[in-house]
Amino acid sequence: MFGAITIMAMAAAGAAAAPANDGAERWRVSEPLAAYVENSSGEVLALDCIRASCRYLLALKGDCQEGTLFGTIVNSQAGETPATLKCHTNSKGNVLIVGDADVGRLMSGDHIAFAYPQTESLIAVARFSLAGASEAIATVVANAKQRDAAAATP
Amino acid sequence: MFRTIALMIMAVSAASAAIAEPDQTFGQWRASADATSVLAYTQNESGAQFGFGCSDGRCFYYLYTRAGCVVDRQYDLLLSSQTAGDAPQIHSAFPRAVCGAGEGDDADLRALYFDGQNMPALIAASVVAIAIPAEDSQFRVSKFSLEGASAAVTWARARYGQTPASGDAPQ
Repeated sequence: MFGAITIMAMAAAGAAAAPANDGAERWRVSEPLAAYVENSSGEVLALDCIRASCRYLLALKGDCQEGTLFGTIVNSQAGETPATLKCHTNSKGNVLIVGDADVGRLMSGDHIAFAYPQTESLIAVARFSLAGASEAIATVVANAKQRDAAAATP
Repeated sequence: MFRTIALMIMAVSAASAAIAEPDQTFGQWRASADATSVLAYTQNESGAQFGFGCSDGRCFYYLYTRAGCVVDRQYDLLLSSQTAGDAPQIHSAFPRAVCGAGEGDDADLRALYFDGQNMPALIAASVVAIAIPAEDSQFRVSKFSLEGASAAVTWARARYGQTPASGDAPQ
């Protein structure tokens, strides 16, 4: 559910800017200030710079209640770190905001994975390709800096 | 201290006699003690062990596994368990563990040691899953029965002369 809703929200926000989906798990810039990757399970990892500061968002299988905090371990070839996932709900569905960790430092290598508590199997793992991540993230972050610079100009 | 416990783990792993006649059996958990150490543990179908031990004045939990870790490196683990009943509750903990070498002939065995913060609530469930981050961005997940875990850990603490209030954290 999370995945479908988030993809829908991202598509609605910037479908025209997104390249055609060729089926590969690859990061895409969905609009000037957001990039995402969807894995084969329909889960989504996104970088959202639409707000004042950039943040990573996750859309996972399952449901959550507004404000609920989950713990997670983030792991990539660059290392691992514990982080928190905060459930945020809106009219388009639910997303988990990744906090309390420098996830950006782990965005190198082939894949990044999130292990989190889950009722069915006790632990679930969401794994995402990092193909194209550095370019997509650099583009979005540069756009965010341009926006901030323009906003600061009297 | 970790070496003392590693030797003790190896003893209960390798010596079937030690397992056949442990000091105590609590459900799926067993507990043993010698003059200086105590151990409460369970073993899953893969041969991995999850347990609690005290030695040299310190107590900790451990995971003994072939899942692979680099000796002396620290790892962030995820432990997750669920209580049974009409309103099941998920309990989770994120301890930072130290990887220690296993003892004996099996060079692939490793022990991950971690403190017991949040563990009393977590082990008062039926099953625990433990995720270990791997080098390839995957996670190795092991599951263990918790049937008898609380009683076994309580027995081990009492045998070691430690009360729950004195804490688990390594010094």
